[in-house]
Amino acid sequence: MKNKKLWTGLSSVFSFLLCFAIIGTNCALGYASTINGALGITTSKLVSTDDGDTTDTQYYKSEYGELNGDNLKKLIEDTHEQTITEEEEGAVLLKNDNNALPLASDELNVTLFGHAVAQPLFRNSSAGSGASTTEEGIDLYHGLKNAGFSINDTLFNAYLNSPTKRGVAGFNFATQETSTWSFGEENISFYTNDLRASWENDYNDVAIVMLARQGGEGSELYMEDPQEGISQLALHQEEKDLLKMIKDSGKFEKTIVLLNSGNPLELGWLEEYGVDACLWIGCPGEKGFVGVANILTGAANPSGRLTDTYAVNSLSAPANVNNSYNNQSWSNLEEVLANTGDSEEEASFYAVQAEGIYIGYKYYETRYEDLILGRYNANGVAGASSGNAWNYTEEVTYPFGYGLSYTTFDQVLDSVEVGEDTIQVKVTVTNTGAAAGKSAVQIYAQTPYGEYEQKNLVEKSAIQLLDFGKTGLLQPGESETLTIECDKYLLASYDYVGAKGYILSEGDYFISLGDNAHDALNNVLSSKGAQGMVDVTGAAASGNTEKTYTWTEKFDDQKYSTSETGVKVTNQFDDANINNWIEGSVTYLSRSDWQGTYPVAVPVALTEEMMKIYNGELYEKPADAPSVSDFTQGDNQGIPLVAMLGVDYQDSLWETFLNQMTIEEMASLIADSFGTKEVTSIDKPAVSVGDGPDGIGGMVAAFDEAKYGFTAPTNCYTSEGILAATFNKDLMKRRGELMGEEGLFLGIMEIWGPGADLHRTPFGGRNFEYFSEDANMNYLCEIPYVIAMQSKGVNAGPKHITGNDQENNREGVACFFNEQAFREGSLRGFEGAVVKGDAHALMQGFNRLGLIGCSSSTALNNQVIRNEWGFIGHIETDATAGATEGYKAHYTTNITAGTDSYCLDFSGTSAMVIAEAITSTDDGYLLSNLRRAAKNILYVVANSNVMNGYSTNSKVVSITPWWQPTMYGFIALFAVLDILSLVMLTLSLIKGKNRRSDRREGGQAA
Amino acid sequence: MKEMMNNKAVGFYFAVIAGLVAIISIIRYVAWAPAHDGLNSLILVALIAGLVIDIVLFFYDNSYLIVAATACYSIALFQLLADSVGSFVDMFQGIVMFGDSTQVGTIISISCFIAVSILASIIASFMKRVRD
Repeated sequence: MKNKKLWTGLSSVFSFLLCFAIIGTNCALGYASTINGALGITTSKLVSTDDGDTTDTQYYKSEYGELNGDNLKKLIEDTHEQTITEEEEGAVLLKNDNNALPLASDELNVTLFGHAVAQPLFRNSSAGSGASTTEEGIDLYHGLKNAGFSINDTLFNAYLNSPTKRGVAGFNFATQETSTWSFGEENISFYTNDLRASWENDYNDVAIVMLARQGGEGSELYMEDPQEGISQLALHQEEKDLLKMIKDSGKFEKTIVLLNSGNPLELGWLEEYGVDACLWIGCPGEKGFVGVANILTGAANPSGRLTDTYAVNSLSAPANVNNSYNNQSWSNLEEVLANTGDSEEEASFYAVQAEGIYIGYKYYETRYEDLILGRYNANGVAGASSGNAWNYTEEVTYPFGYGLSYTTFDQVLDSVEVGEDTIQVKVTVTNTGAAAGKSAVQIYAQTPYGEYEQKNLVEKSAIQLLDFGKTGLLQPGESETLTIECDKYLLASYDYVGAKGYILSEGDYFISLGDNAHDALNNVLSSKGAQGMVDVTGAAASGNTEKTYTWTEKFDDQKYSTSETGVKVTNQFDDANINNWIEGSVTYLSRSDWQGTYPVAVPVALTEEMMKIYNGELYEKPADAPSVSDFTQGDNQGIPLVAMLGVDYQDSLWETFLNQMTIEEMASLIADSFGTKEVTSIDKPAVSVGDGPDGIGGMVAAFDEAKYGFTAPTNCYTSEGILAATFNKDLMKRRGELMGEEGLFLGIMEIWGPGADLHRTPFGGRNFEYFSEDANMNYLCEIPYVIAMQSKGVNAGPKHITGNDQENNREGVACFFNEQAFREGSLRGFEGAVVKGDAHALMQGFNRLGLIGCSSSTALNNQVIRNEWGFIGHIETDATAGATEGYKAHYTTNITAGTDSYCLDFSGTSAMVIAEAITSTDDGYLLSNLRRAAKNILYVVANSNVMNGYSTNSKVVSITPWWQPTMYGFIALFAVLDILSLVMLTLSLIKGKNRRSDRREGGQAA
Repeated sequence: MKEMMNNKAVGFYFAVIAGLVAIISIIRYVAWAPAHDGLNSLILVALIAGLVIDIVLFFYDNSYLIVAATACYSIALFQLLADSVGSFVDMFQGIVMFGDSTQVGTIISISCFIAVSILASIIASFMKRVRD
């Protein structure tokens, strides 16, 4: 009996373990690349067949020399220094009454207020570097301590020990933190008498208040948050109580507010609470708080300028009407859902971008000009925060480009030379103050808005950023002349109605040098002889005509009618304009009538024809598709991948090279799981990629201890908004170089970044990963960053192309727009990265362009990106996660629409589906697209640093990761033990049965 | 019935606990999974099969059946966890991409119930379920 119990129990235990081993192994194999990455396993290795080969195979060299531990330490130090410098130059001083900053050496006894001081926002949650916790990073407290501050530890420790936590929706199992959103500020009752006593007689030189706003990937900031039902960007009651407490205490000589946020807050309250100085610090990354401390002490002089408008009311932008939390569901939603294979979340929502081009300052400043000039119903109540006549001062707290310094500068517009393709602007900057500092030179432009434009719905921003530069550190009295070559192309407007292409409008053009967009516009208005202008404080302003230059252009619809590749640029996205499906659905915001065209919610019911397209599986094998047998496969010519390094993309050798591969081998490349597997037949090694943009994340987010003798996480840089706010292209270039160097030391072939979408609304959860509300700013920031990163042999992959700039409903949201807004807005940042920066990779957005997903859009991928822009490289989806249903699973449609690879497809679903579709239907057309995708992917691999060390004598050999045979071993072990236990159980049962039978027989005999 | 119960040993009651907790697991899983696109028929079938076996064990004791019940609950547990990897990844990464990190708490609680059934079944396996 005992044996029976034992064997039954052991059978149960081994059955349990066997189930674990089988299901666990199956699951692990599906995430093999993830596990390999986590364990630092590479699934291929290099074997050289000729030891005597002396060819230099270091195709991409590090500026630090050999890739060893000592040099890695130097690189890490430089990345930290870069982060500090970015913060010093990118943080924006918004208010500085009576020179409250910098603090004097006898003003360093301070109390830190606000829960964020104990929970600083190094970065928002997203991909990118993991070096953003207090363990890796330097927080405000330690940054100030190291700078010589004495800090009120009583209050700081109370914050640390408080159960209050700021959180976005989610659950951190490791820390057991909240699964729901929380604002994360302390209630006023937190400040007990004991705590208040801590600053009664000490630590009261300065009250430093840090306020944070957190979003993240998948986490849009709230337009009406769960705590108070108000904008998350507004001052909340707990913060009001805190600021009132500080003011009412009468103890502090100064109150300094730090805004720790990737999104612009509403700041109309600074005066009310007696705030002396306010500094926007964005998300400072791993070491950026050191830079914050340096600014507070004056060791660094702030020179950052805003790349977003700070509105009085964050809900006042017209883009808020239909975007973010104001997306609508189809009027016939039930019918739509009944006719789609997509989930309800993916198929329900749409955003009609009725704001057109008027995003951020382009709205506020353009309406301001029309208000000053008394035209176009600019003074209407539509869109006015007050509910009365629209008034600039009541709408804007700080305009785009705004920022203060500890010194003053005089900027003189020396000359403007308008050439055929460029406009050369010379500006002399003189430091007229008493402190050394840097000055951002902002070049703006205005282009004509006349009858043609109004008739053809060509909208014009009254002021637009054209280019920028930054001086070096100027000592008091010192001058520097900057020569800035501006791209004239940025003055062209896309006319989707009349010319159906880019035009240069007829009329007067203005170049304006300004301290910010509003200042620049006032200069233009002054040149026009306008009266009644106001400055950012609402005080009367006259503008400065000497800072403007004007000239006249004739109407020209030819100059930019073709792209640099010679391809005609014309309408490609008419089907993304809802008016072309349902006439009169939307009236796009037009400056010709602010009151009459201000956006309203747009109801849309999908028609039967629209639903057919919306369902998305659009690919059908063409009648004239070639046969699979028309293509050569597996014809090994002995050409290794490294032999393709530097081979022109159009070279016919690529076809011969591809002929060496089988369908399965090519298909294996398109399933990207932060890297691709090895293909030994062409000696292509397994490669890894990093995920940005504010640092390198993904599978390889730390340096290899075995290789370098120590490990460390990749650096977390400042948020892109801070980098852009530096207005310093050298810093953008250096960021690209350093991330490229990190990529070299990690041995990765590309990094997904920089981000290039817009801050369409102030609420974007990933605004911190994108540069600006201004598309031209995105365009200009991408170029140096991308070029520099790729100079290291690490390909740049700007993301997420495009049309969607929100996290709410990001998966599947149908974005409708007009083509002018799309080309001059959403596309522009990517255009800079590709056309000027030669980026070799692009990651798509999750959204739809009208009815068609970005991944399924031939117009986007093939016509615009490849044909117009001349893109060479691979275009990848956002994370499909091996989807087997829904719009992400339209693999054949996507690949034939120009998509090359599928992000985070751990299970290889895309590869299986496409290979199966090709072979089962003998679809040579699909195979030709697979060959194109494979070529694009291999082109990028071949032209990257992962080829370092490879020569034509090298062979790539597969390595089976140790954990896989181990897992199989466990299955075998538990299976054997389970079977043995069951056999022993059976024997013991038989034995017991026999024993009982014997006993019965014995009993009968007795 | 009373006579039948008088014949039961401690192991029997562990099997009963396994079955009762399995009922809770089934109810919670069925109430949760369809609403979150997470219904896997294998998990449901395994849970129901484990429960049916426990019901049979109520009337008829068999060593193979208690082993089978353990296996069924084990399949359900590990498949649920395997299906939920994406949610765990999101949770640890702090992103919203592969699953639904807000559901991790529910997933863990359902998993805990199933784990109790497994544990009770294993204990029942090592013990007498009917008196000699």
